[in-house]
Amino acid sequence: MIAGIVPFFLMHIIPMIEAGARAKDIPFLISQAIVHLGWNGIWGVIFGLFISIIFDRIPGRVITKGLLIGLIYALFSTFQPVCSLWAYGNVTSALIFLLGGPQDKFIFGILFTYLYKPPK
Amino acid sequence: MKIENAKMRGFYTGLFAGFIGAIAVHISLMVSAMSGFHPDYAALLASERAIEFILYQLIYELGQVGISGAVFGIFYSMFYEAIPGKGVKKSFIFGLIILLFSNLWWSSYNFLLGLLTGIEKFFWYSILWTGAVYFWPVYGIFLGIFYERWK
Repeated sequence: MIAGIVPFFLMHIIPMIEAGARAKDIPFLISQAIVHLGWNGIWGVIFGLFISIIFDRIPGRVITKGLLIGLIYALFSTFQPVCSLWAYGNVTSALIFLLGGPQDKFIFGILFTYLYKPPK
Repeated sequence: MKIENAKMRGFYTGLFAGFIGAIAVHISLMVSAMSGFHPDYAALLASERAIEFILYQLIYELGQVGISGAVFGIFYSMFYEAIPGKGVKKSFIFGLIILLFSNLWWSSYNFLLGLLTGIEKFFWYSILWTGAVYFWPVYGIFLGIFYERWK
């Protein structure tokens, strides 16, 4: 959950504060922040459960392993939607999906590897 | 037929299971169009271009699910031992895992955007992404059948 929430802070909070300062719509931004925190936390838990199953089979140490976990997360969450959008000729959306998504997954992966201790 | 290299086996079984999944989603799409769920598709099916539309849609599904299926097939072969279950049950669980992270993830994200912004199209997108429920479970079953047979 923590690994899911922290990338949210890094990826979303700063642009959100900037936008909020411009728009001066603070209650809307606060509600958005709370919902996004909950959403990222829930999916962080679910993906964390999945990764804990295959954790030992992923090669590397903290950084490499974390980047690979991020890559797996990105593969699962974006590959098929990108193929689908590309096949429909919606190349712009496909590129947005492909380039706009993976950064927070890599942060998730590194944090997860750092925080997670596999059972002995 | 036997394929010794596990990754190649994953690739080919994923590709063929993807093709079968694509046919399943194509049939479900046509049935839903005929039952009035997709008004645009229903109009195309009633037009002179119906055959062209059916064929192009099938080719598109075969391409995108086939490619995705092959890539996930390689992943399946790499983490085969770690995925819970045995035989077809194992691959079916794998299909559900893909469905969860590949489509329900986006579905929930769009639903959330719809709730936050009140824009109706996001709710429609959230329904659209769940359409994958027609091919990933089918993909999972056939991945297991082919993978165990080609061992």
